[in-house]
Amino acid sequence: MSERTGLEGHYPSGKVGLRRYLSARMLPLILLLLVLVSVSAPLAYAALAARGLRAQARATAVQAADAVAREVQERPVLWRYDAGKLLAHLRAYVDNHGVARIEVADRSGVRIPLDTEAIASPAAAAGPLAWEAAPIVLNDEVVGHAWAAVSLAEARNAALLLLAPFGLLGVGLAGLLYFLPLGAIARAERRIEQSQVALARFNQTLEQQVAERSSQLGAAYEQLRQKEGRLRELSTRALLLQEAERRVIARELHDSAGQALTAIRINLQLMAQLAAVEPDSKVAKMAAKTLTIADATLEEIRRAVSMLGPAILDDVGLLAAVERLCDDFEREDLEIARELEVPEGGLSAALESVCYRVTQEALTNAARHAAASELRVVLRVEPARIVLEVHDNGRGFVPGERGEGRGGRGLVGMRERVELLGGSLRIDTAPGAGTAVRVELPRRALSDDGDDSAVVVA
Amino acid sequence: MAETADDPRASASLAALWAAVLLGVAGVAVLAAVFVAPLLAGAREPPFLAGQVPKNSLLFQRSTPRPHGVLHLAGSGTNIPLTRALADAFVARYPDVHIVVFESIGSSGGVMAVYDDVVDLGLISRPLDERETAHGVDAIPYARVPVVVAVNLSVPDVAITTAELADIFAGRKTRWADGAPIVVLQRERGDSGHLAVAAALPDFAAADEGAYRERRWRVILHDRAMQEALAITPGAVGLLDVGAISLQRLPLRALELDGYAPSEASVQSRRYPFAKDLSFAALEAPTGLAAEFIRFAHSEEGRALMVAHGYIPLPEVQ
Repeated sequence: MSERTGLEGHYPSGKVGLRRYLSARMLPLILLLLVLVSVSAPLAYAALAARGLRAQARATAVQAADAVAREVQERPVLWRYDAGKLLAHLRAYVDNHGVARIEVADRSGVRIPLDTEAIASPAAAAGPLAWEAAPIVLNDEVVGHAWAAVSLAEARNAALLLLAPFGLLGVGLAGLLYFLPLGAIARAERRIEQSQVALARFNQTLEQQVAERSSQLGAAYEQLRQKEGRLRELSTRALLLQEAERRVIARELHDSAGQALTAIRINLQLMAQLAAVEPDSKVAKMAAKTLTIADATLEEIRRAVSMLGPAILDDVGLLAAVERLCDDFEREDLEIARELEVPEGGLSAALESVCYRVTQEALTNAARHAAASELRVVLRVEPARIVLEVHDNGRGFVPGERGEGRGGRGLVGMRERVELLGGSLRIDTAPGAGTAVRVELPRRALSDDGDDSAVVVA
Repeated sequence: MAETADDPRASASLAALWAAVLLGVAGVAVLAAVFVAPLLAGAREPPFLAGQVPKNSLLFQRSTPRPHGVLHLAGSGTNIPLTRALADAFVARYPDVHIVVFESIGSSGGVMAVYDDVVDLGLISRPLDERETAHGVDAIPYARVPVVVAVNLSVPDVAITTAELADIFAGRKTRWADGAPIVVLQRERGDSGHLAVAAALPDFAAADEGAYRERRWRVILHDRAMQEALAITPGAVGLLDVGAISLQRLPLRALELDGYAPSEASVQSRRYPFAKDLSFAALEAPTGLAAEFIRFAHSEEGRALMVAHGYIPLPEVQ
């Protein structure tokens, strides 16, 4: 029951209403049919019968008028007194032709007294009479009229009797024509209603299924998101580990090989000063050459250390490191503006590392490919995120066109690093319009425990 | 799809449908009223001027102006032979006078002709009915005549009983004594001869009425035709007054009834039961020539003429 109510609520039209519609339109037509079938035949019969009877009366009147006319011819004055007897002759017509009465009127319209009992047939007693007249003519002069009457009672009664069977026929036909299509429509209506109910039920089931599928998909999506999160966390950890490893290698290079080479260089310098007495001696030459090699190697080590791990971050912090980086790239024809805001305690090692490297990569690209005259570096730490922007006014490029040629590898690396920390990197550029690199990083890039610093420090 | 109560288009179409149907029904009604009803309309009385028209109405000016010294008489065929004989005798005595006795128009016609002043005197062979008396018509009897059973001369029988007469008219007796078929000739209903016999013989009245109803016999409307038919039809029998046979010397035989001949004596003694009175009919007390003629009929000369031809003279009623 509650389901039915629910379905009806779902389909406010409820009943299809075909039967009511058809019934309302068929009722007047059925009524017309009933009237036509019931009345037409009795009316036609009554009209034909009455016409026949009247024709019969007219014929009798003509015969009576002829008979009287002969009498008038013989006795122009006294005919009217013998007409009754003459007309008794016409009794034959009265009886044979169903004529109810015969009357004779003179030219003034006065009835000539006849023995009406003798001339009237028993039919005269029944109902109204239809009167028909024929003139009585003597020498082209109308001297009177013979009137014959027929009883219409029979025709009327027969028509009324016909009314009953034809009325029944009309009722039967009307009933058939009304109830047959209505029955069929009612059956069709029931089927449509059943289909509607089934459809509503199916719809409801479908909605339930959709809801279930949506819920399953949501769960799967949530699972996937969690997995993705964990994967990102693992990647970040891997990145941090890699970063830490690189810093360790860099420190080792800087602290051991660098120091050793510095000592070697000092010794070589001493050797060169000692050999300066004899500048063209082989030793002096060798010392100078070796000193050159040592300088080159030291430079290589310094560069490698710089590439492997920005140890400078550990030494001076992100702000000073970026300042120094800018100083390094600044030339006479390249001015670098800076807007750098970093909180007092700095950022986590991973964030600082990524910020530093992205700045480094962006500056490198700008210096190498952009032919820019102005550069602007913005580092802004907001409560929830870190924004890093590097703008240049160089020649720009068509994004994706020559990515490989123009530090493409570096850009990809930048993007990977940023995304590993849950951030985003956007490059806005067009030929001749300069290049803007914008990085946004969430401040809590890692899990809340913040143990990345330990990893980095290690 | 389905119509709703407040769907104006559906309501309008439904209303139009109902209007069309009602128009159709009205059309049928109009057809019936215009074409069928007039055919079925009728009346008890004919549609011409009906009822009584006042006597002084112009419509009643149908009497023809009659010249002085001419007497017009018309009425029952039974009276005509005797009246003509009386008229001839009257004219013989008064040569300046002209009397016209018209052919039979029946007793009723005679009364109405007098009432309408078309004739001076009517001739009737039956008593006046109440309606005629109410119109102010008086009967002046002048003769009684026996009604006889007249047969064609081919019939061998000379006598008959009243029972046989009833049997003949009832169709129970169909043969004469020689085995020849009996041919009954009947006068129309209301004929004075038949009325006189029926009044005296109830069995005959029933047989006569049955014969009318079943149209058993040939019905003849006038005295003259009856006389001729009886004279020329072998085996014919019919009712006729004896004076007609005598005055016109008709080739007919009057049968004795229950052994009595239709003589004055047997009629007066009621042994011969069938007789009818002949009267003049007049609207007011007759004057002038009409009164003269009535007086002549009751005079010795007139009475002698009646007796001579088998009539029984009746005394003048004052």
